[in-house]
Amino acid sequence: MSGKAIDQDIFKEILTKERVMRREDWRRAWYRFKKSKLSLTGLAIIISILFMAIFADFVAPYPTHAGLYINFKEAYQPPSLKHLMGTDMYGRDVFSRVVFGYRYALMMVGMVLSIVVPVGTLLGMLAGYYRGRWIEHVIMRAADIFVSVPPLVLALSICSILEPNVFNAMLAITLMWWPWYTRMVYSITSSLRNEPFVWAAKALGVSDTKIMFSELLPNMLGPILTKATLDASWVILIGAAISFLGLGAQPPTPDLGTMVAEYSSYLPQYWWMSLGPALAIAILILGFNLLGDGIKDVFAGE
Amino acid sequence: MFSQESDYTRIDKINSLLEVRDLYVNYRSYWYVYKVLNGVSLSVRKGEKVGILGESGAGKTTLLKSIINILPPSGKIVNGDILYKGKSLIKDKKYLNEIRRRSIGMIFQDPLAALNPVFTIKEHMLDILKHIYKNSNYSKSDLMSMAVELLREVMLPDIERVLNSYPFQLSGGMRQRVVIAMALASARELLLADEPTTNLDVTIQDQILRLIDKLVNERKLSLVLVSHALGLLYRMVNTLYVMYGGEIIEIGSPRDILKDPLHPYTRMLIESAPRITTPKVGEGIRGNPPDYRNPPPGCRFYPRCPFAKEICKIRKPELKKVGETHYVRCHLYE
Repeated sequence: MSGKAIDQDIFKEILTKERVMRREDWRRAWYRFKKSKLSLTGLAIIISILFMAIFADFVAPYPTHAGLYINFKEAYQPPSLKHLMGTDMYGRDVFSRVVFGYRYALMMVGMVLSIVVPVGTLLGMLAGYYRGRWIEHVIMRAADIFVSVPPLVLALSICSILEPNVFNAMLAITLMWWPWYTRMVYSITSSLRNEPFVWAAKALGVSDTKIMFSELLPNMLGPILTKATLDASWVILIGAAISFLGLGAQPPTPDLGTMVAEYSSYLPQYWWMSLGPALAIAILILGFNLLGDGIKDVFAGE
Repeated sequence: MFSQESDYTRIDKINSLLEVRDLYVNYRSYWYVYKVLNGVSLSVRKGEKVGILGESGAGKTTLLKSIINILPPSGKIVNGDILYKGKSLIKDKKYLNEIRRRSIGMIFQDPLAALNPVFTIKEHMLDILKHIYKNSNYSKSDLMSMAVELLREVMLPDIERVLNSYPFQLSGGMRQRVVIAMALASARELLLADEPTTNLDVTIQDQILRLIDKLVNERKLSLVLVSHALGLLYRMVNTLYVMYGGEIIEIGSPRDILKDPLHPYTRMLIESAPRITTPKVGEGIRGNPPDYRNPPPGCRFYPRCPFAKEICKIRKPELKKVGETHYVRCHLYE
């Protein structure tokens, strides 16, 4: 190469410029996100709940109350400074249990989405890219079958076939969820694959796999990420519903849905027992929805 | 139906780089088969600059796309062959990929669509260079200096900014220059340019075509250029092919074609180009391009041709030599 010394200078300038321009990109994204106070609220809610869930042992005032613990002297206490959400029929601090409940809820979201998003995306991309071949028909018809059953019914039936526990509830939700990602990614892929930049890649002899993963996938990250954030709340809701119906986590696991179900038989006299976990679910879902809206704003501007 | 005569006997087999032999391409929709390319033959010698002229929908883009095999899934090559240095690009996929990667580069019509919107130009350039040199171990800074070199060659100003921009942040002319730089990276022997100036304004069009001309001359590339700019084609290319309705109807040097057009379509096409010396707008050509679902069985131009004879309806005319380098496919010259 000619003029190595000059090239070094240019490289330095390119890198400086890159740093400046990427910082600007992030600043622009953050500007779009923070334009809405609601997105900021959502972010704050999710961060604080994440913090509570990770450090549940330190945040919860009575970490031992999460599982099997009985102290009838303290039972049926209404909310007070000592017990923020009161205590339940065994004398357990409801707030401590909610903090641990968040850990379960977020774990469920994490597990479900970390399986559903990659698998659904991969299948959707294959079906969309090889549109018209047998692989599309196999994947999309399978997806149609799963979509044709109402989601909660499907999850419940899977749960009732299997043993009722947290893991099986996650499995059920995963099985009912992948077709939604597959369908979304399928439709994006089948429109993107006719874009000239895909031809251009093909004109260079780039392989199909590489086109899918390094040309098409980055173009879909926006919608996928937005959907994942908005779906997080649905996963929590469905998980809570399954637990509420007694097919998910079993007591004494401090799962939010299980707790609502367990305590609902003490309504209306001991209202604080089920109000605590129910409110906790509502706040978590609100947080995810607001955050999802904010993320959508960031990508919508691109 | 494919038993019609083929005219690749014309092709100079020794010096030819690219040969398209009697190519038939169909597009298939749910209901219809569109018979677009109808026995197209074309040859490009080493260092030859070939221009393709024709109205929209004449099959020019389809021809270029078939050469590097990027037809949409509905398009199929049903007959004919494409040879590159004597070896078939259709039958040997490995050879095709090798040639696409290292020998042929293509400039697309719409530079914005040809660039992936989520990557910066730097990422584009590095990806392409990495792909092209995947078997040789160049370091990242080597590739980087190649990228800078290429962008300098297409005379882009402010390279540091361009490299770190996303495609939408550049102007149309800059984008097309970037696309040319990317095509150059893989075009060691042949450059295909599919209406490279369609979406640009006139001053930029001129600059871009001049740039392509300069680069092709400097690098001793062969060129296949599809363009509507008659004047520039006249100056840039050695051989001009006129296409109508998926057929090559006239071949010749630009001088043959533009000064002495023989086929009625070519004549009317050249007459309908607006000229500053004639006060009136040209006559144009009446009618529409042929319906590819059910093309006229004889000469595909006959429904619009003012000189149509009875035989034109029935028989497809053969390519006939009328001059040193001049060939025409018309019954009027038989």
